[in-house]
Amino acid sequence: MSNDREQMTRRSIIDLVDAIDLPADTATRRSADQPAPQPPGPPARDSSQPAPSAQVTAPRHHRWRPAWAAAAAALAMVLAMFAGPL
Amino acid sequence: MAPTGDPSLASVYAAERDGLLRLAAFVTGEVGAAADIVHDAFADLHETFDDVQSPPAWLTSAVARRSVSWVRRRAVARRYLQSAVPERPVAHVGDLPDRLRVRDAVSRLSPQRRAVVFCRYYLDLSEAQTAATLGVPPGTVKSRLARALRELEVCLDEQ
Repeated sequence: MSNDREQMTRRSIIDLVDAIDLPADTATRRSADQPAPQPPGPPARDSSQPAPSAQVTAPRHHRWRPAWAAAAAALAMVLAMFAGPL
Repeated sequence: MAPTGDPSLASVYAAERDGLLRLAAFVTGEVGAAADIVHDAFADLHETFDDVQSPPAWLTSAVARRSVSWVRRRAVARRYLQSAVPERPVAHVGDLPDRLRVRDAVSRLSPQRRAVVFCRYYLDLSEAQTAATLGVPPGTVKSRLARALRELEVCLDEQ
């Protein structure tokens, strides 16, 4: 193959390789209109919606009981112990 | 090629990914296979990144060799499948007539010759560098390139 012919072949090869359609790089590139991924955590709140109340109803088994209710329960238990033998 | 200094794996990936894909696609003729080959090479590089002196050269060598092996394995599979798998030309390159002629001519080359052509012409490596990249003696590079050029000339003249 002549030198000119070889140079032409070289250019054709380079053109051919450059023209190969490559798959998108999903590992590192994002399209401009694609939002960046959010870090893990609660989802962002919609600002058009009112803020949720800070008062959250606790699950039933964790509901706080007032001190007087605990005292009444203890008293009822004591009375039941003494009332049993009577 | 990757920047000099102390590149991270991420920066090597960003710099080398497209070139390696082109190498694998040129040798295998399959962009999908090329993507797998390149990802496997990066996965292996990740294991030994600290021990590799020149990640770009290491990757070029790994991808070239894997691509040639992939074509060989496919040829064996095709023999067993009695040519059920169609021959694939070099990956999709558009529809310019001249480009299609070159693509068809290249698709007739053996994978070893394609790899040599890519290293010598596209990467512009010397014979010694090509030999080191492909793991063959320099004389083999010279003879493979000469035969590849002869084949290309014949194919292009036929068309």
